[in-house]
Amino acid sequence: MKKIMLVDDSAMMRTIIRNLLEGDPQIEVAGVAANGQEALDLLAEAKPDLILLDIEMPVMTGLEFLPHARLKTKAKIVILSSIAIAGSEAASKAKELGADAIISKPSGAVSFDLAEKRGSEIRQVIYEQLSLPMN
Amino acid sequence: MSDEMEEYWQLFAEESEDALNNSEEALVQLASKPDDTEQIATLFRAMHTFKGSSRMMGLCGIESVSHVFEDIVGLVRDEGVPLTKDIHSLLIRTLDILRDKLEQVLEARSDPGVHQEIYDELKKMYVIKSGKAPAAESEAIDLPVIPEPVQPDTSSVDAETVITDAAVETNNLSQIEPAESVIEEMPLTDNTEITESNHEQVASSSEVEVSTTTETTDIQPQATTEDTAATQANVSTKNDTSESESCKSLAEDPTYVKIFMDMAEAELEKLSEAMNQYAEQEPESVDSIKNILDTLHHAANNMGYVRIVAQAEEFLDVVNDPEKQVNKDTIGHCELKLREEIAAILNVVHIAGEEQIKDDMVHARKVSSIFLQSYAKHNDQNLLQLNQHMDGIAKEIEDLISGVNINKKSTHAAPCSKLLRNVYHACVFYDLDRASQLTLALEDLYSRINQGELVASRELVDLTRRYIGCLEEAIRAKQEGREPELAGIDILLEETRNKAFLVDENQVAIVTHQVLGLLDIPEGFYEVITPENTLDLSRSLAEEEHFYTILADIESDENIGMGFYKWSSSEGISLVTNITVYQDNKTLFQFLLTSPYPEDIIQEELRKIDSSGKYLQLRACEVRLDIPESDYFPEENILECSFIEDANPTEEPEIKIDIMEAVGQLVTAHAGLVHLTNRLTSTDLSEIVNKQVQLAGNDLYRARNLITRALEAWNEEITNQLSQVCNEFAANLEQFRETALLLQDKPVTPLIENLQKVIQETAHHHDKKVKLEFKGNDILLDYKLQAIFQEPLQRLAWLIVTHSLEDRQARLEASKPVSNKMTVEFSKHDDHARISVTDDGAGFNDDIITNELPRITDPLGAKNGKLVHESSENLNEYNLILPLTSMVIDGMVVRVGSIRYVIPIKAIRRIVTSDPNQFTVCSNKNNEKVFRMEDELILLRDLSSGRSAEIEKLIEKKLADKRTPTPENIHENNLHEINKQTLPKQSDATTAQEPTGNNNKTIETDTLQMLVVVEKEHSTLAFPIDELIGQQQVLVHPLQGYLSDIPGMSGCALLGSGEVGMVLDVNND
Repeated sequence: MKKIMLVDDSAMMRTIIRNLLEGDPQIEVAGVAANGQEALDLLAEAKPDLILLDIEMPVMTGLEFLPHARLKTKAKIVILSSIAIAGSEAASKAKELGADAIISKPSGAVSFDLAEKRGSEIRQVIYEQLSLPMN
Repeated sequence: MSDEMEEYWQLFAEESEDALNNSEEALVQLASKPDDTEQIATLFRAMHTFKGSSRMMGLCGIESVSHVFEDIVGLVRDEGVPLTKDIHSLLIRTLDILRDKLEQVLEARSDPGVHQEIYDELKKMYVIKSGKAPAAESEAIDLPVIPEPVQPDTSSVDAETVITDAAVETNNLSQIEPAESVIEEMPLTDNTEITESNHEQVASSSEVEVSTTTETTDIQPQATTEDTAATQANVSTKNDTSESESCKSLAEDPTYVKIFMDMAEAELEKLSEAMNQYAEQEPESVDSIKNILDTLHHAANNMGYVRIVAQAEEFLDVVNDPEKQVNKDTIGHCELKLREEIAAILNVVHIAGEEQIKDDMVHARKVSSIFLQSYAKHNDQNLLQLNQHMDGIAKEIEDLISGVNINKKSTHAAPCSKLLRNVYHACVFYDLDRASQLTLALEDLYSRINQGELVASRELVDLTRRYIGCLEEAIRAKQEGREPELAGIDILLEETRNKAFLVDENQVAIVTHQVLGLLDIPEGFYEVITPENTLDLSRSLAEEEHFYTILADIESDENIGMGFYKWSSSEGISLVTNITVYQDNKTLFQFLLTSPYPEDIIQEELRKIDSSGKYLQLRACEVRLDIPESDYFPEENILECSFIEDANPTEEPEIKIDIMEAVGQLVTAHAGLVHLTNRLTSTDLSEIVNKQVQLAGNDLYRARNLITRALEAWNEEITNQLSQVCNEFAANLEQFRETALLLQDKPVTPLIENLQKVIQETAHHHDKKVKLEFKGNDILLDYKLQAIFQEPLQRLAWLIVTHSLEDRQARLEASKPVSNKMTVEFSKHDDHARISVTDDGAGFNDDIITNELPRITDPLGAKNGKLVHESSENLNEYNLILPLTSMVIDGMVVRVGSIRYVIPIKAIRRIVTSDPNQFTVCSNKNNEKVFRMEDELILLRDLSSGRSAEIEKLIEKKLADKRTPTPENIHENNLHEINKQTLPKQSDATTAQEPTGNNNKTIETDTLQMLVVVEKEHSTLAFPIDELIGQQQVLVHPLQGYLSDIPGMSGCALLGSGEVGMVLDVNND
């Protein structure tokens, strides 16, 4: 089972994503952090294989976290952010800093059975990054 | 509503409320301080969260307004747009509206739609402030139509959410693949990279795929399958490349470097703990070490620190191998090396700040604080172990003294050296500068002992133990915040440095300065020079190399620093040592180096590295020749003349190098001699004897054998070493003397040139024609003699041309060739130099000889020279003669009374005993008795008064006793003729005691005296002596002052014994 760490300052987003992933038998949410610093503190304990990382966060942003992650963990980093849109500076910067993939946050999907729709999308990216066989 | 949805609404309510509250609070703060970046950031983040949550809940009306709100705050935060009152006011109003909308949403649990008025105002404001449409525009214009949900298809990518890397990196939306085309043309496989998310604009406006497709119809699907595949392939390939490129560049990025530094520091801290646990055999320690190494390996690999990576791998290899784990030293060694590699990187970072770091520079630096801290922590343990090794070394010394292990190498020296190296780091950490120096000096000593260059002594053990005590106290003081007492360390440092130079007390300064004093180098180098450096310098002197200092600013420009380090390790360049120089708030390094290359080549090389010449400033160190002789050569005066103004500078460099080479060898030999002397004096033979007696117990016979063997072994070793050192010393001294003599000899060219000028001008003035010829003009002659010859020679030439040479008419009348012939010949003999001037003129009249010649003879006479004038009918010859000021001769050293004499070997005919039977009185000559020995007529002469008279009387008495003295009475065996080629080197007192034959029984052997028979000019002289000391090569100095009046002596010489001997003049009587 692969370990995932969620890093987002939005409690709602953390909850949604956690709920999305928790049912997956191949994935375990091993840690949840509200910003980059919390994530760093949690790294040694959580030992994640992949980190879902928001960008816009207090204390330490996702972009500030990326260089640390690059040196301190072998985990894949997937940016999950609404500002890392294609062509944006944030997206380019995230790639430059070593993000392995960038996906946008789910939008308006709560009411449309998020688990089935956007969840599968996010999962697919996670699977790709972790080389997990698709169900 | 499901529980899950209810939970989401709850979370949304809480988070949105917080976001709006935070936004409001920030806006309040910004009203009075509109440039407060922290509050602007808070405002942006709060609205960003509110927008994201709204989007998540599908509340497009409030999301679109909040999105433009966020865009405007983004302008303030990121693009320098000032937060003006109109913006602030608009944001406050928007916030109120959003609060109202939020209330409606939470009540209705549905999207209330957009507030078009405020949205338009916000959009207008954004356009005004930024000059472009807001990112959220499309969302507002195309108000969301909630699309039909689409079932996820995990077999294909949810393509509208996927954009390629290329799209991101080229920042070109036209490259975004329309969803359907991607789905159709490029079904993803497991190997296909999904690297980017959907364009937010698309996603937010369309919610999901179907509408996205319609919304993006203006984006033409241009990519073909191949193009797309190529793009994918590019993505994959590029990822690899960029990884590699980024690895290279991470070390150049200060952000990464800082992260690495902090991280490495923390990991090393953990490693210390893990190693402690490992030492205590805690089972989990191995896993801890592995984890730490894994972390460091990963980080170093990403940074491109290959040396750390390699070291971490080596360490991991050891940790992973149970067999290797057994050897704790191996693991400890790995830890040390890893720490050193990391510390080196960290220190470079500290020094270089944010500048680029190159692996090549790593080893040129000292260790860093983290490294030092680690050793400071373990210092007590290191000192304790050092103390224990002192016990071991003390035992080794006892064994050595007892003769048991006389040739055994120390097994404790290497660990001591290593421990001292560790302690050195601790000293640096505690900022104990003098203690650091002391530690290094001791480390040097122990590594020399380890290499067999030096023998451990009790004194050194004692010194080391005192050092441990002093250091412990000093560190304790530092730890307690007190000022440490360093006087003891200073004393020990001095003692240790003396030891380090292998010589005692003041000899240190002498030996060092003999070499260093010859080089014109900055004073600072005197402080850091080591014995090895001194010997290296000596060798370089011997090899005629050049010496340079380079003042290098190697930190201001990394390329120059790199280039310099590379160059300094290239062939033909030897860095001897370096000192730190602080200049204009910069830390510079001054390097002392030697090279066979001349200055222009070195300068050219440096210009290749530093074209400006600002960073690497070369200075050639001249060999100083103005050293007061008493400083370095207190016993001999031979170098004095060589340092005086040179008449022929073109000859000087080669000779200087010769003398430098000789000095270097002498210094080296001297160090060896002193070392040996130390061994002799520090060895207590009584201890050897006592030890053997103890070993033998009551067995006296065994004791005798043991003592004999021990003493013989000791004696043999010392004798061999002494013999070797003495031979080397003698050979070096000989070379030194010969070289020194060469320094004085110069071509006679200046003498000739001046003479030509005088003759030419004088002849021209008197209208006389002269054919001038020089002979022997290629000889080298002591330049002092040349100076003495100069005036008499020119005066003589003037006299000859003026008074002896004839004008054209006179010569024609005398039937001589029109041109006067004048010849000047230079020659050097064993003990004198001669300039012969001949002319075929009329010669001098008596007046000239009476009045003018004294002006020539007097200066020569003052220097024991003379003018010899011979004239024949057709040729006038004048010989200007001066004794050589200094010359080396092979001499027989003899003693008469308490005075030593040197008799030139070449003049000695034989050495005999004064057996009267060998002599017959032949005649009287000028009231001197002439004796006959064999076929030679011999005059007895005294070196010291009275001896010859006694012998004369003795011989006469014995001869008178003989009735018919005939040659047959002389017993051949009584004649102890000693061929001068095989003369004994030592005094041979037995010569005088051998039986002298039946006819001489009445002669007491103690009345026999040795006679040295010398050929002097046309006479054979016999000099009675008391002792024949031996043959030596000596440097003869002329007698000066009142000593010059001593008859029969040509000079004095410093003998090998240190005494002065008078040199017999075998040419003058």
